[in-house]
Amino acid sequence: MDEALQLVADGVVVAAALAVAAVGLSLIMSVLRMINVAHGDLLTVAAFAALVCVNAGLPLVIALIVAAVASALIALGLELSLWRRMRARGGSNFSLLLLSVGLAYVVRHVLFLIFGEETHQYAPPTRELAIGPVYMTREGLTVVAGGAVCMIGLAALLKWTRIGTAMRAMADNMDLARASGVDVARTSAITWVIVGVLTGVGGVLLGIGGRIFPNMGWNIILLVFAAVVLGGIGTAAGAAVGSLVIGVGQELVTHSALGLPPEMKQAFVFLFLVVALVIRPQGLFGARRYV
Amino acid sequence: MTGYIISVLVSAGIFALLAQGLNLHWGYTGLLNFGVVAFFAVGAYTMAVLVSVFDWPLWAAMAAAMLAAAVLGVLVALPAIRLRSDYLAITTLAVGEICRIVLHSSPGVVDLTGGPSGIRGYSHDFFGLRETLGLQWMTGLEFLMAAVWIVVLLVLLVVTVMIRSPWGRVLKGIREDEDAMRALGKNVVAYKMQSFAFGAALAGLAGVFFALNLSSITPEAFLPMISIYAWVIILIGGGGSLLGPVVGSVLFWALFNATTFIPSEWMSSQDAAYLRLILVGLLIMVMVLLRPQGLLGNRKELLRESRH
Repeated sequence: MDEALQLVADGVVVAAALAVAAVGLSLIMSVLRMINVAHGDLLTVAAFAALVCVNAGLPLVIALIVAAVASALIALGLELSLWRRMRARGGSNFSLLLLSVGLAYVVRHVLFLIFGEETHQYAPPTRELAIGPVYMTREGLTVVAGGAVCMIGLAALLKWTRIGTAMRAMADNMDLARASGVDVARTSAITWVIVGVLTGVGGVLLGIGGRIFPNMGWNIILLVFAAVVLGGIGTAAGAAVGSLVIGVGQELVTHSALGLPPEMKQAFVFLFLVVALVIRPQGLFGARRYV
Repeated sequence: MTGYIISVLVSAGIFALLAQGLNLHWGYTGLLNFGVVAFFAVGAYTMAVLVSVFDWPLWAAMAAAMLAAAVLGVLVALPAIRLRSDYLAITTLAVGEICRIVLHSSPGVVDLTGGPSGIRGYSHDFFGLRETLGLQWMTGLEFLMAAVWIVVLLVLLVVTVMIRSPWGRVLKGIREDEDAMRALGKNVVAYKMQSFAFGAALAGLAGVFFALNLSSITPEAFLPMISIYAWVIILIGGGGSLLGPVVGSVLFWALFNATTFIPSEWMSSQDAAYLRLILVGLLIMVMVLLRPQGLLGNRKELLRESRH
């Protein structure tokens, strides 16, 4: 039982970082109807941006802010230079996806070229703290807290602000939103900035909870996608629940009672993704329309 | 230089087969398969396991490899053709990764595949054919190159005949206007499944030659990158054109392997490998932005939104 509880605790830490990554991907899928395969690699960029700051002697909080700002600027730059141009030309969902695959390859291998294959950490891990029956590191707790703040903040922004309403309107029905006076180009750009900030924070949280290396984002992009699909596209709650199920689920699969090699855990998540897409592509909470 | 040309032609032949399979999925059926590596891996491993563990003759193992890939194709296509195009892409990407992980570490499977240490000793029969045919004057690689290209041409012939047959015309019809074909009483799902299974079998055949080109295969040889290469080749050559995958594959590998000419004083071979993957990414972006129909494709045929 203790082993299972510990696995749940580990899973929650994974889920917290996953949720921040997932909600960004999910917003772009709902508001702009695009699957951004490069999302994982943009998380990696943010994690490395923070690493450069930390190595320069800056405190991690400042590094986080720098990473978030850099990531938002990159996201905005890509929207203005690439995605918008492609949409204006009537590019299909699929041509946008292909374009993002190309971008993912460029970004990841530029990181390899600059930073090499080694793995890095922001700081050596601290001692584990006993919390009830489970053990957690200070880093793990930071990730959970950071994830929770991001998710609640985003949910509030979507629900109560003007831009949040505009984003939900675009997700609902692009033409109706435009006809009702939503500035689609401006809302798209702001959506990318918000997603950029989330990507920045998500990347750094991933780095705090684990290690930083050029493949870190690509390795989790299918997990992130699974979380989005499971929870349903376009809501913070959906991304959070989807991430919890995926994060905790993949740790529980490694329980010694099942006797499976740990490498198999991802195969289960992917299988789950395929089955979920086929049976209920709208997710647990999502509406049918996106699929 | 001769070494460069032969290595380009071997890879180009193998990937022309793989891309021809993908061409049947995407170019002719509009199914966005991002996991073509799954069929490639199943083909390679089926042949390798049957030959080296069960001592099957090569020709029977090759036929079984194509059949196994086709069966997996049907299993994937059965539920997946209902999905929206970009969701299908993600689903198939996941299927490719599941295959790789299962070959790497699934209990039961690793007893046959050797897990991470891979499988070897399956290529003696193939290279032994040189003596049987009296072709000892060829090196192993030259023999493989000749064999692959004979198969590429045969496949090109078969696919051309099929696409020009009534079956192929229905397939093209489905791509242009699914509802119209349905109204004509054609079983659209059955046609799509057949095309998907046929494409998967070709990818499996490509996997067989891919394995023969390596002295051993490990799951790490079947990363999603393989599917991406096939896509780049289709993007260069043009989907829905029969010669497109062949021409695209030769151009892709000529370019890809050209980075071996970068002098080692300029950059390490590792950095050159990263550089060429950056080029692969840029190539995808440039082709999507500037010439989505490829060099040989028909722009009007392919700029439609391929959803169903």
